Amino acid sequence: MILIRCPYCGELRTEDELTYGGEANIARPAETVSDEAWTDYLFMRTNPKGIHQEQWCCSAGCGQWFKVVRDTVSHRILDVWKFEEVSQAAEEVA
Amino acid sequence: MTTHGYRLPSGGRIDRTRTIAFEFNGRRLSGHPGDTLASALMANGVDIIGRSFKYRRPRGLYGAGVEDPNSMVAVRDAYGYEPALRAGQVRLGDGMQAWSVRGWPSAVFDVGGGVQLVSGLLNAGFYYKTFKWPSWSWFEPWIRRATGFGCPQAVDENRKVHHRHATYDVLIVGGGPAGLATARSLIGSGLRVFLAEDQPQLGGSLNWEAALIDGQSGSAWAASMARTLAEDSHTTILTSTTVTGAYENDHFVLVQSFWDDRGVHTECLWKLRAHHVVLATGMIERPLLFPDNDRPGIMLSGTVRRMINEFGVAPARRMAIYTNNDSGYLTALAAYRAGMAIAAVVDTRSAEAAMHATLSKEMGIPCLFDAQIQATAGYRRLATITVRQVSAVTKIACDGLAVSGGFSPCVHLAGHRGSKPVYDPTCGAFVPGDVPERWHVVGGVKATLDLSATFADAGAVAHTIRAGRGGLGSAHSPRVDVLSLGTGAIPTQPSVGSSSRMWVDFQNDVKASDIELAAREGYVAIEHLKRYTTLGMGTDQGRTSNVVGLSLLAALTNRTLSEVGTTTFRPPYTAIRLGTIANARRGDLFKPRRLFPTHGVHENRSAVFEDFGWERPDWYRSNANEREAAVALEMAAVRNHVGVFDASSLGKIEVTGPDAAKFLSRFYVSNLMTLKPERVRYSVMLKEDGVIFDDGVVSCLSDNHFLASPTSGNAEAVAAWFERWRQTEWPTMQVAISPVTANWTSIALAGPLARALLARLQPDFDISNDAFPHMQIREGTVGGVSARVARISFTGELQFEVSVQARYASSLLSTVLTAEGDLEPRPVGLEAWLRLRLEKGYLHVGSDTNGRTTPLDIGMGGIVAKRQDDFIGKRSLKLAFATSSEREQLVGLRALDGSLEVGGRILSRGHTQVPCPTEGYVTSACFSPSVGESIGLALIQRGHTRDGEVVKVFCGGTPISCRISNPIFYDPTNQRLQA
Amino acid sequence: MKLQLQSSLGVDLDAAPNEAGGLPNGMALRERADVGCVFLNAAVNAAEVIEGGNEALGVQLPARPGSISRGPRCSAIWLTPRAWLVQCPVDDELELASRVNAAFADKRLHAALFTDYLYWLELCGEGAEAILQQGGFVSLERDGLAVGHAKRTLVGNIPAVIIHERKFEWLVGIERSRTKYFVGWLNSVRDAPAG
Repeated sequence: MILIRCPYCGELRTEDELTYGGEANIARPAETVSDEAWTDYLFMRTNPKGIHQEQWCCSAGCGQWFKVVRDTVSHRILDVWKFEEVSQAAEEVA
Repeated sequence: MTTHGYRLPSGGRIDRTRTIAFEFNGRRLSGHPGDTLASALMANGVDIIGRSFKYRRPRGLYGAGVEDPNSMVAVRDAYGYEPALRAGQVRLGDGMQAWSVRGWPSAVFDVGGGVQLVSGLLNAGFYYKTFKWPSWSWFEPWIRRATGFGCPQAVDENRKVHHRHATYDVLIVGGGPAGLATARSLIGSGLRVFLAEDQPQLGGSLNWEAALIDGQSGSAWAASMARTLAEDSHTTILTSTTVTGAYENDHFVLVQSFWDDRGVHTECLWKLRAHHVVLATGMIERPLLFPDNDRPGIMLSGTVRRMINEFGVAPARRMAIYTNNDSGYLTALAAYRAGMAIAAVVDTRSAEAAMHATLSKEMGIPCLFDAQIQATAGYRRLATITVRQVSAVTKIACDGLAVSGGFSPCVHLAGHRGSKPVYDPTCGAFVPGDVPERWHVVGGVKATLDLSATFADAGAVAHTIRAGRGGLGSAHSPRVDVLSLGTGAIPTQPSVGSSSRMWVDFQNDVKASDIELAAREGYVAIEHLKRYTTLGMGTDQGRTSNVVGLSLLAALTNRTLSEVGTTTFRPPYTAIRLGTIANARRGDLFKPRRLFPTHGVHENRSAVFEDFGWERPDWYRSNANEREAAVALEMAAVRNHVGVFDASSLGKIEVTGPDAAKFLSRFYVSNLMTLKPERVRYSVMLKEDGVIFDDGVVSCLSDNHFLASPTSGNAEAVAAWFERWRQTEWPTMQVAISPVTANWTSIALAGPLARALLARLQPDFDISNDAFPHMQIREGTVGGVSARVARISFTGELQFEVSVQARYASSLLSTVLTAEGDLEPRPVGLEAWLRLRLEKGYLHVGSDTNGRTTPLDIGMGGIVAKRQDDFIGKRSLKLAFATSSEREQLVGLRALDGSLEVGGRILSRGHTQVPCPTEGYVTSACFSPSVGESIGLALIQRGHTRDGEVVKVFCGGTPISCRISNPIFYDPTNQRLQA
Repeated sequence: MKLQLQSSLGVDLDAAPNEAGGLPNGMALRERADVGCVFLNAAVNAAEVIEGGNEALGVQLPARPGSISRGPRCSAIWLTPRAWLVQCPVDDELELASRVNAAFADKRLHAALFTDYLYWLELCGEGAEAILQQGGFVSLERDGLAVGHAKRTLVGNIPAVIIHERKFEWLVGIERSRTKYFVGWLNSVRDAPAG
């Protein structure tokens, strides 16, 4: 069971209360980009074994999206931060 | 017939003042409260509980609990039926019925026993090999009949189920000496402690071992601990509760059983989160390998002690003991004290290694050292063992043999968390390796055999846990006066006897020779060995057999046990009933049914409901008794006078703020920046890949205030979609998204008389055609309450959709349905509603679109081309996939002969017979009363360029001819909805 | 003409379940059809609208997650960093919403009518929390959901607003269409063993 403390409402939330949003920091390109750049944006993800930056939503709680650094092997949550914030942990692994 | 097992005249923790009647394989037997089914069967002299899986060998009780590979039974108590339990897991209940799960016609006389004669065929890798040669089909019918454990029974289940969720500071798994001592030392710390014990009483092995603690017997000490802990308000103790799984973030699943004299009446599934975890799960004894080691009468040494001391049952009349550690001597002493005859203690070690041997010798028990059993004999029950020593071979008569090959710690829960057990060669056991943070391992589970060491450990762990809370409370150190279990033992390899007669895994009939064969054939990785031989794959999960098998493989491949390693431990620790997991999620509560606020009014009209997540009226029996007739009348009402349709499930999302119009425009194919107050616009919404996600109308209620109406099924998903983009992609846009679907009920009035019907509700605004034209919305008062009325149409007729707050819904619907005079309003169900829209060629997202359909495919290319600014999915419409000339495009179809059917495939050009290639399919179809033809919509390759073409469509088992047409079949000039 | 109003269940919960004999001693279950609601949702950061909102409603809009503030006519519950649930008598709903919407003509703060979105159920008694815990954790915190606080979570597999009103007194709000399901679910769990 993945448990994450939502940085907005401060509640510890269970997997049931959360929605997974895939890899974080995928920038949406302008319409003018090449077909290849656009399809990369649509489909290509890093899908690592290990440290992964991703989006989660406190969907059954306060409804807010936030970012998480998770180890995809152990499910350990290394950091959680709001969209308007910067993560120390994320910068270190980047 | 002589019986072997019997009830001892005294001793045990059973209630001898009361007798419980039960049945086993139809025989009427009796036991006492406090018995398990296993102990009661043994007390009644039942030797054979079942037959083995492959060779149908007779098998008796081998272990006292969940570790037993043999005693699989089907059990029916007063509350339900379970097809495959181990007898030691079952608390005896009055009137309980139990059956052997294999053996035909009976476990004692099994005709399948003849399989042993062809046992050479059934060795390791049997399945893998027969899939290749000679032919699986030769074996399949016979294998299918012969395999499986137990049968389900269609019986009424009266067991209650509950679920609980809880958070505690400390979870202690196991209520034996280690768990009790830890819990005791946490009293006063202010921590909330949860202790789970899978047996009905606390104490664990203290209930049957001869320990002396603080001057009391082990069981008396455990009872006094139980009393102390029960008085502590911070400690919660659950007995008969098994921790079945450990998951990430210290989340646990537990199953708690509640039982009475008649069986298990309730089960409670706990989901528990704990900050600290104390693993005090103890260990399980493991067997020794020797030829014919599976005869009834042979069992684990500790099981014999438990039978004697906990249940007052003697497993045999004349007991022999075979051991490579001191457990055997403890058993000899326990049996001796219980008055049983002891044939001999056979010890694989030399005399010097045996700590407890002196005492046995003093009691006149013959002890044979440096000895191995080289054969056993007996028909249906052990009769003799043959012991080989260096200089002698001795045949010993006995009807029971207690076996101990050492101990295996119950490391499972740590294994669930990915902690690999490590082999400790000093005690011959796999112990937990690196455990997760804030996990603490105490007692037998780390192969501690010395009780004082366990208590010291428990004190230290409690101290560590308390330290995090300011060190409140104080340690409790029990004094141990008598040690219990002697020494550990490394697994011993037999040097005599035939490996094809030595059983490693009793439940799956895996023999030492199977492991040798697998090793010869290269299956030397432990996970491969497991699957190739099925070692440890039974319901007992190889609790007794795994380490024996591993050590055999290690010896065969000249590796250490550490190098061989263990297989992966996965939840659950023991089987959980699916009904216990499902709990209330069955029948009506399986999935939340969503009801309209008007549900009762529809019921009064005898609506026939369909489940779309929402319970929606499909058609009304009040209109006609038969579906087609009712649907025809409902359609006619809309076309000729007025129909009333409940559209309450339609999504309603208020989008507000200075940037609301700009925000919405980024989602819809149509430009909503130009939408003026009181106006309504229809559009579709794409996902970023260009595929249609949803459609619906957007209304502008006032400046900066919009109402989006997604489809019923997508209402929640669309609101979440808006919110996600607002937060993650466009956080600076000034917009708020408020889903308000359930607050409003929406009743559509459709038909030429819709305006007259709306007038009956006395709206406080002008509803004339000039003042309130098509595709507009008004806010005001209707029926004396605040309302929103949209003039939109899904049917092609004049249509008003009246929304009021849900508390007025029933009153609104009843009022319009009972309108008097010449209006004759009729309730209209979803089927008629969808056919009406099909006549008009309107899109039904999800039916007429699929996971590939873009707006270009449904004729919205012009609108897309006009958009200057970006919207979600726009860029994808320029990709080759979207612009290909081979796209399936939405068109109308009119049947020239026969009837169109949804799903009918369009035959490729030039083909008239199936099988043949196809180029699309029918997405919606019905007979249209207004057009007088069978009509449909279809996605057909290049459909937009093929107007008028006749195609063959496979419908009703035969190709029919259809003409491709404009999808608007009814009133193509929109005269009626403008009226 | 005036349409008639009807409660969500249309039955008197006060008597029915208790008489059925299933509810543990001292427990009470009551439908709260008297609770009206307005949903307040800001298009901008909360700080920019709180003052105006307070003025229009006569209650301090709470900024702290999970907190509730009470005013003379209504109470405000923190729902998200930009949204609040305002509870008021049903008859005050329209007026309160209008006052907010009048104060924010540009819709930086929007008040949506919300009374009929939520069905409120009051659960009282020592075992109330245990009943709720059958449907979810209620709270994963050591001390649980504090009195005077509210949160949104899942109960019995559906979203709910839970308010811990007083000791042993809980108010649960669920989406109206799931009322019958939720009451059915409550009935299925009410006779849970203590523990």
